[in-house]
Amino acid sequence: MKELDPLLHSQLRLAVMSILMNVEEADFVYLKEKTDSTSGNLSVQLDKLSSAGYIAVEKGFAGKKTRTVCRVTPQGRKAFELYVEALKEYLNL
Amino acid sequence: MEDKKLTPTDSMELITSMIAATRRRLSKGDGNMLLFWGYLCVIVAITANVCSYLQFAMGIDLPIAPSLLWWAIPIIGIPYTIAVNRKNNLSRNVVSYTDKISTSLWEYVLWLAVAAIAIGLFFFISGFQVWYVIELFMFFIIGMATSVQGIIIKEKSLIYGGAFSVICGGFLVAGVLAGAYWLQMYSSLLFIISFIVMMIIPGHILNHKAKKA
Repeated sequence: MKELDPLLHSQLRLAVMSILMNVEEADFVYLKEKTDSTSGNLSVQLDKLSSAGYIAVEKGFAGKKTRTVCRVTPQGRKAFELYVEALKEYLNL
Repeated sequence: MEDKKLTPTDSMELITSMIAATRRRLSKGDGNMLLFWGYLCVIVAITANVCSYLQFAMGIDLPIAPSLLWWAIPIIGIPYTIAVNRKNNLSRNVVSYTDKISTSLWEYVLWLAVAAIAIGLFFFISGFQVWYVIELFMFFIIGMATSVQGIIIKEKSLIYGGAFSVICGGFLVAGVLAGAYWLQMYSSLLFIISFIVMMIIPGHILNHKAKKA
């Protein structure tokens, strides 16, 4: 049986990846709202995903406010697909 | 949400719930851009036709040539659209694949509009009046793009409205090629009806659906 990717096998990181797989890009505020997480925790998890090359994080400005936009990378997409394949095996789907 | 460990079942449920949470729903004002372009084109077309009638049929001198009034469409429409899109991009928290495709589609149409205007201007400078190129562009390209937009967002009124415009354009071209030049006199009327069917009616339908959603 395939091993589940430990980086994705955690609630908040998996939630973030699931959202980003479903959209072109999402900003920090949107991710925080949809995952119902704290800013600190979300920042840490985004850093981990970004360091692994699963997501690209772009910091910019929306007017005078700072804006962090995230999008999934091809490497992240591949990892997510493998993770779902492994999940299917575990669940006998 | 905590950063806790998951069972495979938890993971699958989480993925499903996040996909459901990101599903794009109609939001207030989704039909506003269609309404803007629809009303702009219809109002300009009616004004230009009324002015033509006043000048050529009633002999009233106007301070501006009625044909120049058509330029109000790109002069007002393009900067307004760019400004609204820029504002929306700043306030938008998420960009879906549908948003991305729609934006690219209308950017492509905008470039084709610029090309059609450039062709018209080039021939105008060379001494030929080929403004019907722009009119055909309005019927065919905008009609096609509207139908594609309808397919993307699954809105039948847009699909049928766009198809109506393409059919009107085809009818006009076929009629003129067949020698029925009188049809050209009704091209403005067809233009007005097309924009009502293709943009104004779907725009109101979209806003009504968004209000109910």
